[in-house]
Amino acid sequence: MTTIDDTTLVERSLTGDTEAFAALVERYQSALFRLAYAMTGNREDAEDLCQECFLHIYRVLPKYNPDYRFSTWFKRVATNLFIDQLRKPRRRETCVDCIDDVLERAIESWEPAPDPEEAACRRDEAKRILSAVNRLPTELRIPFTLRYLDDLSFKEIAEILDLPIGTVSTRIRRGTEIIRRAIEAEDI
Amino acid sequence: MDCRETRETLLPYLLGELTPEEMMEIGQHLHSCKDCSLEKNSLAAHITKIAAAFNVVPDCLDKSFARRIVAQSREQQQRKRVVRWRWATAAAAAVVCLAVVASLLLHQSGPSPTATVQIAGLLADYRQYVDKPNPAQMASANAEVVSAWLSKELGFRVHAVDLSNRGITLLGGRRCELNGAPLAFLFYEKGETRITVYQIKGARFALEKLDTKLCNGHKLHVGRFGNTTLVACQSGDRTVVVIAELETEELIPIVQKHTAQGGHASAPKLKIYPVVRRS
Repeated sequence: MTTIDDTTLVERSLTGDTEAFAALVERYQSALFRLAYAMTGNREDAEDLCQECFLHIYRVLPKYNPDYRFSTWFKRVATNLFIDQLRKPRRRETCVDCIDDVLERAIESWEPAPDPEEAACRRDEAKRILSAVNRLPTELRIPFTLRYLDDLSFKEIAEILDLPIGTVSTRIRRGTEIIRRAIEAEDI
Repeated sequence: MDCRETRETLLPYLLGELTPEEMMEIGQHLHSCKDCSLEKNSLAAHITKIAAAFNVVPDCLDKSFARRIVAQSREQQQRKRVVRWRWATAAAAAVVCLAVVASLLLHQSGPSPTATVQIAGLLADYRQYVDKPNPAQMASANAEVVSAWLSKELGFRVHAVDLSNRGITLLGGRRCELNGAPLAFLFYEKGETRITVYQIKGARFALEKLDTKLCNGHKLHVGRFGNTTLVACQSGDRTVVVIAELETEELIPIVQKHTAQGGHASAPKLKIYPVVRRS
């Protein structure tokens, strides 16, 4: 079966083809939800963010320039919206104890650890790291998350955030240092 | 490379963000410096832990999510249409009132005083958008896509033109309205110079403050406002106006291209309204 490319789906969406827009949403919803979850730390906020983001994308779709990759444009629009939303007062606090059961289940279904003690240790560490990420300032959290969650290169992140590569590199380094100190502090 | 420089570049080194030469240089330093090598191992272990934590971030949007979004975006569009319709009704009523008042004034005071405003309006629009990176609502370099979108939005055939052979790039189009007439903006760029092309349907358009010039059978209207040049041509049912900080000779072919694309390429029957020469 042939896959319809993003640009064609955008063009069809612009003519009012809702199936085409649904296909675009399906194509990007997982990546967007993971990004939103990593940045908010809970399912409700992540879902709200995704919903707002796709509705916003629908409104601004006519502005998409097909000379650029849709995925890059999409991530740029999404991260800009996330930045705006994350600057608003948080609806739900994120901390080690309130990382929700969705993450708990995800950790449990993760690669099985050799013994229960090791499994508990891994679970705690993942929770701690994600909580620390959620406490990063937004300007560090977004490039940091795009790097470690999506495995994007500094160049790709610079394109998405419309920042110089040097700034992206510095922000990821600063973010990594903060998280590293948080991990070390817990280890002691 | 010393220890300080090495430690500053350890993260991009471990994330594979350096050039092969830089990688080799750091590799050589790490080989000879035990402290930096230990620091590298520690940072690498933390990076592994961070990556592992992100691996468990869930993906749990259900399959109905896309359907819900589509349904909501439809609702959003319908609401927008209703609002637009209400505004359109109010605007139509206002236009009728204005038309009555204008016709009364015309009978009293002779020719319409709005012509200068129209040129000034186009120049103001040009200045408003000239510094914006890409003000197009439909951003595309594809002339057919832009033409189709604007034609659909404005209800008359708009012609964007591929000028790439002249080193001019199409940025996209924007819909607008001028005194009730649908107006299309086309944005082009030649190097860093923005070129704005307007196409106005059914414009009874007194091009005041402009000189006239006959060029290849086309009667053109030309004006210079500081560094900005305006060239206009009225042809068939439309007026094409080009504004840019370029010389008149550079804009004339662009006007002609847009006029020729309007279905009057072979014997353009120009419909020129009275012109007041600039004194």
